[in-house]
Amino acid sequence: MPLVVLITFALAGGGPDPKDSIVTVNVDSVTVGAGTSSTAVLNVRVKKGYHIQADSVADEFLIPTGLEMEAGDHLIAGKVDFPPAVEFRLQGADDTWLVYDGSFEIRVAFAVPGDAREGVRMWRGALRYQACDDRRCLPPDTLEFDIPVSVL
Amino acid sequence: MEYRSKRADFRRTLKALLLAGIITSTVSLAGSPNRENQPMIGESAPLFSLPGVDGKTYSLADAAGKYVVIHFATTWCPFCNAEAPHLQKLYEEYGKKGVAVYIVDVKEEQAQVDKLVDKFGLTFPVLMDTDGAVSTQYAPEGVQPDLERDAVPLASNLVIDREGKIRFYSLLNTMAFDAKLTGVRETLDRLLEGDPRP
Repeated sequence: MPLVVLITFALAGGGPDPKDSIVTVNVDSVTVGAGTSSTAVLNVRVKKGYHIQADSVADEFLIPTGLEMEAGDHLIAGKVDFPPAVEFRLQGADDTWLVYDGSFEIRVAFAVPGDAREGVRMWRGALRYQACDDRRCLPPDTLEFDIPVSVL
Repeated sequence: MEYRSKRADFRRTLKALLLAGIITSTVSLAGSPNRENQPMIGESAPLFSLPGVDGKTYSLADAAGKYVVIHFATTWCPFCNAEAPHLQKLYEEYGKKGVAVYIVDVKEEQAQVDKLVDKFGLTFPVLMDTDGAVSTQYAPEGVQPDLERDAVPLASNLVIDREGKIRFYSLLNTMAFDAKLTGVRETLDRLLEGDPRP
């Protein structure tokens, strides 16, 4: 049974008041053996009333939600799985966009080489997004977080 | 028991105060319905002089005697992009009637804005507000106080009359989004017909 610790990162996300973050990321720690692979799960919550662009956008100018993981200490990032997006139909126009709202998961597969030393390391990542609500669109923002990874 | 009773009294008092507050707020909002949706009406439009993506400099003062439509935008703003083709149509129809149309792009690199101009085939001036100073001047006081001021006017449309007064100002409202600029068109039609109503 892997040790699971819930850590909440609610860093500046789109406004002067960090308590009022538009996007928050909750990260479960992951325990993994050297020479094996695993998946980290990011629980993303978008503030009620807001949406962020999906991970792929039809309009080349929009800012898709993107995830970047830094090179970790013996952590090799694999496939990143975003959930299906929801359709946002714009009143008064023909346009339809794909967005995320509410809560959703992003899954990050990763591998640990066999020569990785035991111990806990923090794997830094960044979620980039652009949010709108019904009254405003906020400039693109980036939310950094750390995934605690315990290698056995 | 006594303690509970006092608490109940306190709760009743609190409820009454809250109710009074809600009523006061509602009356206050009802008394100024246009504060958020149509701000700055009748005020002099802040003057500006900005470079266009075409290399020319555009000044609001130079447009005196014309009606001016201004749309504040960024390339990443989905609502701005939804309006862009309709702004081009509006320019094609109203430009010959003495209406100037400007997009004021806020805090972006010209190379990025050039791509948008090409994509939508914009033939009217697109101006570069690279430091957001002009956009800040057009941010209505008290509106979206938690937002950086230069971001407040994004996706807004204004109509400025021949005397430089703001006659129409629509802040973003996606619940009643007007991509086809019917509000701007109606205002221009009225002004062009000589209707002085605000």
